[in-house]
Amino acid sequence: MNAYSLGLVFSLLVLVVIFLRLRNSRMQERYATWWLVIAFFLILISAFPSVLNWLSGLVGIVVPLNLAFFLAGVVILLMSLQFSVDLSHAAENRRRLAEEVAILRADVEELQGQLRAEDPDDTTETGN
Amino acid sequence: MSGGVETPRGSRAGRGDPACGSPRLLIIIPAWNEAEVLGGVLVDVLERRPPNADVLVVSDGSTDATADIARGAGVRVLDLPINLGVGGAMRAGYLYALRHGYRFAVQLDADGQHDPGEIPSLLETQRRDGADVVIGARFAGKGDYRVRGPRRWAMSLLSRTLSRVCHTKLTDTTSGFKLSGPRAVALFARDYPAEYLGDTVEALVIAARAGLKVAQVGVVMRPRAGGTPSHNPLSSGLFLLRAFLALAVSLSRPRRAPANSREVVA
Repeated sequence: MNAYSLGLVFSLLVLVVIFLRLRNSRMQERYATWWLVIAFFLILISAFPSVLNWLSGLVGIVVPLNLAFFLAGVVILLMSLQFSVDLSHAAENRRRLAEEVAILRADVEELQGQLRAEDPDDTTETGN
Repeated sequence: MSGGVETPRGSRAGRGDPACGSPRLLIIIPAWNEAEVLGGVLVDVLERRPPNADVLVVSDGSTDATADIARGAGVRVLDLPINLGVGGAMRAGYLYALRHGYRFAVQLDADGQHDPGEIPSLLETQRRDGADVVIGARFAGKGDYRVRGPRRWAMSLLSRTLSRVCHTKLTDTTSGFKLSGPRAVALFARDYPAEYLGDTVEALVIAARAGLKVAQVGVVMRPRAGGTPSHNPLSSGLFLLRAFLALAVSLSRPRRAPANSREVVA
């Protein structure tokens, strides 16, 4: 088995793993798109290494692998940036929900207190 | 959402009844695991509060008896299921104030540092200046509260910067003792940062940029029930750095139209 077929097998494996994760974990489309693009490029470059050579020649990079590293770094950076933004949004949503829950609970407790006050048969007694 | 709840609630409360003509005031006390001191502070607040004021304790995800102590004292309690920080607890309090028709809200710390007897003086300043936010300031000539060294320089630099943003002279911008008028309550119920210094520095920027009027009045601070303020130069430098980062971020944010300040209740 030479390096060429090893690379091809590995990139196909990555595609399968990503696809299974997408399907089983119900990943949202906005993330799934990124991952599919990554898997596609990985296969493209493994199958046709000349594409990478041609691209690096185009932008003036001597060692083609450096272009691959550079692109991989940029993609990972952008993805983690998106994760940070999404995490902040999720935290903000969680905050809103926590506030709502607390206010609803306070309302429920007050209504319970009123109900008890109106119902003399109830043995439990509250402060108000 | 729960807008329909407001009407029966407003007419029920005897003390804060709008029919009396007195402005309804909510004293919001954010508390995170303050079971040791909260009981004493609540007794003091209930005794010395203005006659038209209700008290709301926001238990910020406390794991001790904070919420139970507050319920036992007979005040309203918001028991947050998770810890959100002072800013998060305060926004929940402002949202509660907005939903239940309070015109004014005062933030009071649970450590007993803020004197509830100063609230009328905050209200007086609000009336006199027509302000939306009144800060109870520690370094405004009243009281003998002192901070020394680098932290003092950091705080005064911060105050000078925020004075320009708010177009008024502010001497203590990190004070948690604040009165909010109707417009500020509506704004803060929607937008009140949970992050470090978000409830003081950033909240003032948000208020100023929404066109609200900020004022301050000198208050006497009492010694805290626990903990000592840091005079470590490193932590002061870090404080300044974080404060100005928060300031820069909030100032660079695009302005939003104040017209949609009602969206929270709608």
